Amino acid sequence: MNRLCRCSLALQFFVAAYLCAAFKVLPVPKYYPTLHLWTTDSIEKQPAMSWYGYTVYGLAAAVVGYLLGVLYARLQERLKFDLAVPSACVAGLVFVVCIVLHEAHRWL
Amino acid sequence: MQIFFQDYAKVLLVLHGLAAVVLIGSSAHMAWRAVRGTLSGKEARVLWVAWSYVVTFVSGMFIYPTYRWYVRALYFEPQMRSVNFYFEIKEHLSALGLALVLACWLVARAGEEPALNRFRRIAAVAIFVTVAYGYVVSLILNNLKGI
Repeated sequence: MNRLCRCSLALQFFVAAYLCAAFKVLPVPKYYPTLHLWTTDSIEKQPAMSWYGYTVYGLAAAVVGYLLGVLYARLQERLKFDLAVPSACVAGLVFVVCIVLHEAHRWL
Repeated sequence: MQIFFQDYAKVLLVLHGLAAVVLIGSSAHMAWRAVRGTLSGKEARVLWVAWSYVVTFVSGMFIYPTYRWYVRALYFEPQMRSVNFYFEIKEHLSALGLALVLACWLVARAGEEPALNRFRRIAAVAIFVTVAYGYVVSLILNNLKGI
């Protein structure tokens, strides 16, 4: 159960950090393939790749979430209520809805 | 213009496709067992899904710069803008899928408690949906314009 709580919190942290990066709340490092350059600055009229940055933020946050998951497990034991699975599902749904709306606004 | 890993992009695309075939097969099998309620924590296919996912993901990361310039910037953005929506969703879902696969692998042998089994079942189906979406979108986009 301890590991489940850790994984659930890691997923929630992943979603939070990834969405913060995708919605430009955090400064995202971008790779410019035509310039062979990594930077957080925006260079106009050059194709930029920010997806690597989102993923790195998400995975780094997931590691923090996994480490803090022990506290989440204790909270769950105290509340005597299974929070881990429903909260991971909600995080996943929030991720999908936010990303679809964000990309639809950009491309459709 | 020379793009990072451009010379190996076609070879990596073949590897990406082969790993994706293994991934869709193993994730479909895992999801099918999850739907039937026979997925246990000792499933060896979790390891197959994890390894094939990582190989597909990493090879895709190295192909991405070539795709970003030669396909998306030069072809899709000027001519078929809405196609990028489907590809971008695939990229975001594949990042979430990586986190899900790692979580699934971490809880694979954690026990047989009901909450753990519920998590494994939901994760197995979510991974399959993510992989199936990515697989179909990649096939269609590669037919529209390969790298």
